[in-house]
Amino acid sequence: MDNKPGPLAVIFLALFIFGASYLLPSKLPDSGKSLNGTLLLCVHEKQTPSVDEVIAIREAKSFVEKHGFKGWLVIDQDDPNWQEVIAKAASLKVEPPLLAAAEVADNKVTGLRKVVKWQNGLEDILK
Amino acid sequence: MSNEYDVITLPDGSQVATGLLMPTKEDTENALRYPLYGEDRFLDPADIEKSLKGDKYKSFRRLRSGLIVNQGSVGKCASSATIAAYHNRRALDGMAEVFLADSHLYMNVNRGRDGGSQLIDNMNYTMQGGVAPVKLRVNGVEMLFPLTAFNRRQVNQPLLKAADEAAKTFQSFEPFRVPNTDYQTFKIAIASALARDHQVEIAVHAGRSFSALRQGYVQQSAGFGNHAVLLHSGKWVGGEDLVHPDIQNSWGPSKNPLLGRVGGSGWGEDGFGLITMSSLWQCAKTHVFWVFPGSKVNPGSI
Repeated sequence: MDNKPGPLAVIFLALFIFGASYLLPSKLPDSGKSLNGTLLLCVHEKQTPSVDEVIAIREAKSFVEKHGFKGWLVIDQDDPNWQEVIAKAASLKVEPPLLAAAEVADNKVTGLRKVVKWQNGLEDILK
Repeated sequence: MSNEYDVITLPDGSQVATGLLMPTKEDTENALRYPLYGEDRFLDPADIEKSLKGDKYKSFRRLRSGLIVNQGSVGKCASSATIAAYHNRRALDGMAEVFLADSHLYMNVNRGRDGGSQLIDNMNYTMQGGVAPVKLRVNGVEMLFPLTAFNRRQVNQPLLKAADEAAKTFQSFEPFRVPNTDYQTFKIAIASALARDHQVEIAVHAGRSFSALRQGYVQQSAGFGNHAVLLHSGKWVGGEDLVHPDIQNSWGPSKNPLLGRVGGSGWGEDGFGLITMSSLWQCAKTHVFWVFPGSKVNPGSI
């Protein structure tokens, strides 16, 4: 049997992604300079990052520079300001720990380009 | 000025203050309201080693040498340790580099006197009121929050208002208290927190011997704890101790006037010094030690 999604499924997915983008918070903090591009969000579980996640976070600066991200942001699952993003990721069937490539325009998150389970390292976002 | 705290002369001749108040029975009881950094957060020694082996603390020292605070002769050590925890954690978390004013925090927890403060009061205030950046904009003009002030009345009202407002975007998560019922549990809690790169605020007893290191290690005086410092990382040593925590003190050498008086060689090895786990235990029965998980990502804070 062919498992490829049909046209209706594709339309549904497109509508879903559009809806997800629309519902994202527009509260990216303002650092006084305009931030545009893709930000790597690293969401870990309730203040208990694993040692592998801790080591990955230490290397985040060089990782984002190497792979063209504008920056990174480590977010705790409990951070109330990011509940919408975390809930949206969960609706895409990804629970923390997770990595997300967030599109940012003028300090506003305009969409989640990609959300993946954070399993092996920051490279997970590239797969 | 009433000096209830001790003043220490460093090898470079500069004088620096302590400023950690002894907790009252009520303070200790209040601390019990906070979650414990308990067994569910402990790491296996193998994981602690994985995180801290290879003298990882030295690379953190290099990264953080530009973040050393100099509290000078103001008794704000607990506030200085707290803003250092913010700076370190925000850098790891990818947030913008913003220098915070320990004096803003101090004047909100010292009852208006330069007589020192409690760690728990600093923890409480960072959760509720936050900490103001040193650089502020008042009516479109950039102004610096005065780092030697210790009373809100010493700061002009428009600047203070701007500071209080800006502070709301630099609030912390709820801290954890470090278990202190027995040494074994205490040791694993501290080592686990440092392996997670959590910042840990602690008490030491600083006397004359504390002014200089001996073979890289601090020498505490006998006492119950008169000075608050930050443990920013640790040296994996294995064996019974597991880790020797690395202190990031607030006695210079500051390399940035936004972090206190610049100049002199300051304290320790560029502001840092190791402490053995058994020495760290000295004041843990009197003062609650705190794991500072980080700064919330709030609008305006990165």
